[in-house]
Amino acid sequence: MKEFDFVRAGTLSEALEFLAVRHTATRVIAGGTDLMITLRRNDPSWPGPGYILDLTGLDCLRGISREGDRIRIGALTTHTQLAESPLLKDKVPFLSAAAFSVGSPQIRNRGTIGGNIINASPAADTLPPLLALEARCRLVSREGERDVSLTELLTGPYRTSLRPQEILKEVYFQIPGEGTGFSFQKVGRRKALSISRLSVAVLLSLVEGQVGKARVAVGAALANAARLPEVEEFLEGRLLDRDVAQEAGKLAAEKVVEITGRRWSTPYKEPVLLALVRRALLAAGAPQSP
Amino acid sequence: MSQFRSVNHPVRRVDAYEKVTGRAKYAADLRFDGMVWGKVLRSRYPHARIRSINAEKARSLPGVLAVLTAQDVPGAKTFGIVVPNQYLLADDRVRYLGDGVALVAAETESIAQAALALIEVEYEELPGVFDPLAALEKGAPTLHAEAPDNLAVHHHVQKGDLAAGMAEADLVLEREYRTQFIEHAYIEPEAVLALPTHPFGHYLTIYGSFQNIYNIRRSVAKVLALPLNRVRLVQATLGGSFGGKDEVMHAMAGRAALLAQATGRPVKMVNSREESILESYKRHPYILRYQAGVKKDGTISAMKIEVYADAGAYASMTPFVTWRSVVQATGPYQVPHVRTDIYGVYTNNTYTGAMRGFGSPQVCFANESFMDEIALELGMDPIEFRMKNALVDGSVTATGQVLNRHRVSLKEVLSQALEAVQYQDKVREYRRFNETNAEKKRGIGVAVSYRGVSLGGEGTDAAGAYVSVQQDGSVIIHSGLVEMGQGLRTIYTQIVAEELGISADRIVFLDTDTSVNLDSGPTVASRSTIMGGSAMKDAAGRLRLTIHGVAADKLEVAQDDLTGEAGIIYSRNNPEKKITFEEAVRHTALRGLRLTELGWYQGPKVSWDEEHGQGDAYFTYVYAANVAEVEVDAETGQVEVLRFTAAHDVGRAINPENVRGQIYGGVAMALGYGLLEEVEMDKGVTRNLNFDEYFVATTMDVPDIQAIIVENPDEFGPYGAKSVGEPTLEIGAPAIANAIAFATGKRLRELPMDLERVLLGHSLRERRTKRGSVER
Repeated sequence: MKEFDFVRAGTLSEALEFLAVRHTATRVIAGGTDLMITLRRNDPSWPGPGYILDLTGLDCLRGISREGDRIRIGALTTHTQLAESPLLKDKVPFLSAAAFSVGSPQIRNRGTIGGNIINASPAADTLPPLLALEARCRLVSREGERDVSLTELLTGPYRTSLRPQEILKEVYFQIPGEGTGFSFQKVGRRKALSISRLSVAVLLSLVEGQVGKARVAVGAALANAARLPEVEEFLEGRLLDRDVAQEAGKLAAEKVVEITGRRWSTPYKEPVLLALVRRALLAAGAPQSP
Repeated sequence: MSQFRSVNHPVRRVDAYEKVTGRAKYAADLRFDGMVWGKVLRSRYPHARIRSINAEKARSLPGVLAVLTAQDVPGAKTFGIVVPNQYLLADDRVRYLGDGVALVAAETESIAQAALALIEVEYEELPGVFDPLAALEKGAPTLHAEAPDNLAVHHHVQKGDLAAGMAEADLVLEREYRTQFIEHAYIEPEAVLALPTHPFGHYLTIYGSFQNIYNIRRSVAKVLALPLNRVRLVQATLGGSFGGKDEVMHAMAGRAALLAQATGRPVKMVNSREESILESYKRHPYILRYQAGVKKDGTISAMKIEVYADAGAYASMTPFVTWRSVVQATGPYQVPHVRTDIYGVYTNNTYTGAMRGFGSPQVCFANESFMDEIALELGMDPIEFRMKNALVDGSVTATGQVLNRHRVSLKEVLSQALEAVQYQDKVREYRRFNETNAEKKRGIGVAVSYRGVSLGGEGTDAAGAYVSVQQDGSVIIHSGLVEMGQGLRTIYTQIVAEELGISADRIVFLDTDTSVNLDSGPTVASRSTIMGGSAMKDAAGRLRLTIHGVAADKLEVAQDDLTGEAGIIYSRNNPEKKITFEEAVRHTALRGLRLTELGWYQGPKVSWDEEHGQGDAYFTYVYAANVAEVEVDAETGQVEVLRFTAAHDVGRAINPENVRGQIYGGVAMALGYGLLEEVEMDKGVTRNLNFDEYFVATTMDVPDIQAIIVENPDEFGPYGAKSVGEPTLEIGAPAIANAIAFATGKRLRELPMDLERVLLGHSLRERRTKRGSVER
């Protein structure tokens, strides 16, 4: 394992102060479910981080709360907490479902939503539902706070626009209106401890069968988890039936292949993405869908 | 009511408490004063000549005690049980990526690791060969001087007149199947701790995660040029093996011993998971070409089978693994005319060897898939087709063996499994389900097998046992066959308890130590119950005779009127006449009679005629039937095994709970073999070195398993017991393949049946540049 100095922050301002000075040599750790693997891999071409700044003592970064018509989730909130939160299960069940699909109980107990966002794996499970919710992220540094959309934050595979002096403090989103439907669909190689081969999150509001608002986000399909605006536009205003869902799936697959080009995995991902988008739409559009 | 008091009951495992409470000491837990760490520098290329090795910089690193290469090996440079062509350290050539090139001993593990990077090896890369068919072509790169054609072994079976058999057929069908490299995936990576020569005893001691402890000792003695009595191996608690901790441990134990002798210090070596997967041998990938001639009524008239096994860089167990394959390749069917050829071929891939199943999972996958394919062509029900051709009492196998010494229970196990799942109802139910569902499809599939018990024609088959009654009536036992999780210690304890008429908690099982135990051959081939169990029964039975003789004298009854139960020896005719076991033992000791016995059991005669490909290959066989029920997501290729039913004739279940445990574990491994697992070799380079990318079935993937124990006692086994370890995983994959074919109408002939194969019918392979889920 790489050698490093381990620094545990007692307060947020202490953490930000440390980062302001030593950010170039520091990696931040929360649950460590991704970083520990990198450290243990001992890649000789990487000298190691110098410092590991541990945030897990910062209780102010923990927890799920409702603030008016918003839900805010502290960056240190674990996948288990997301999966078990009565508030999330009630208002945005697809986010709980996505969190529950992560790894194993051990990983869900340690891994955090902040880590899932900032690690920015293309296959990160909580990102498609957060994108569909148009979540925003609050980033803090010694110099102050800034607020960016999750879409802006994600810039590529394992890349974000987070500055090295910054920490992700929390993520928040508007509570969707009554009657909104949700669905999270994931294909993995096995039932647990499985990185997504593909995932789809759909948020849908229907008025008498007609699509009002549609949000469609995909994981493990593009360089980073992302919404598919053309598919959303296609859906809005249409009567949702199997044919429309199928068309939307086809469009989603086309758009993804347009962006990625044909790759080794395309013969698999193209038809499967179509099916997952169709299923997600029909599930989200079904009455009282989970 | 069982006729037995200890045997045939679900006695609690004798080693469970230490394991579940974390008290058991595994090899990596051991520490000695003055201990130093050993590390191996492995090859940079799958095939290369070593021009030079410069270890000066590594030697001068503070904390480094020794850097050793092939020239420091005092004895033989190579080891190997069948063909000794594997190098302890590569001398002038590396043949696969896991080959060891140099060794380091240092004060700490990190210094040892740092020293590896300072060893300068100049290689001349050689063209490699990575496919067994390509390796057999003229002009292919070769690996071993003694095998200019890259052929490690060729076995055949020849019965009847193949051409005549094919001519009789109304239908001739040909299919090709392929299987993959499989990692044992034992939870404990390999570890050893070698102590240098004991100053008074003149022997060296090596503790380690050993499976075949006597074979490992032989290799260590050979490379160190020591007689066997100067090399003592002690088995630490073993964290799983599945056939895997054999040759890789010959190398590791030999290397640690070499470092211990060079430094005069205890040397510990522990593989990381990556090192383990890189270096350790795998289950062979096979290419299997099956041809069968079948008559309209469903009778098989002939089979022609050609198999190519990728042996990788060294012979290891390939000659024996492929022999079991050639014997069992036609499956448990009556086939009058047979020709089977199997070729084990050297390549620059990771070498392949023993793994649970030992040459059967591959041929079972091909053969049992093929049976369903033939039935489909004939328009016949696959069960009816199997029943029609099944081996029965008195049948003649492909190798010409008449099955007349045991109950041929194939039809019985199959019927029991089918009845338990209500097979015909399920067939109808799933057909209806599939008519009304487009996205999900359900299927049910069956596979059966017969399996030769123990080593068979592979070689000498005998085992010993030590049973010693102490003067207070407590008992010490030990055995040269080893516990590796399969439950051997519990089984042997039960057998001794049964014979002596005492409870199992009076018995203590000692660790396995080559200098103390009786060399009983390898703990393989599902042989420890039948071989070692018989030896235990022999030793304990003779002790019973001694002790009961004394008791009969004391009680003034005939000795054959005595029986023992729960620590009391009493007269059957007059139960009032009784004596405690302790008291009888005390009198036995007072009379100066021996209270320790060595038991021995020699396997019944088997025969093999390699020239004619015929023989009585094994002295008895076990029979099994598996039924898989699956749901296939027709749009994503995801397969969920809904339910699994496994019926096994074990002769007699010494411990029914343990038998069920073997079945559950075997099914889980079979599911991984069928659906998930593959060591990806890319031109000799292992791509998936840890369990983030090598997928074993998790507990969430394993369905409800219905284990059915069938008992037809065998004349050669203790209380009729035969074996169960390996048959439990050999037919899971074809049962699942047949269920998938039922569900989707598509036949998959390659393993694993992963998402891509199920959806598209073929695999997709990523050309990875790096591993992992994090970018820096």
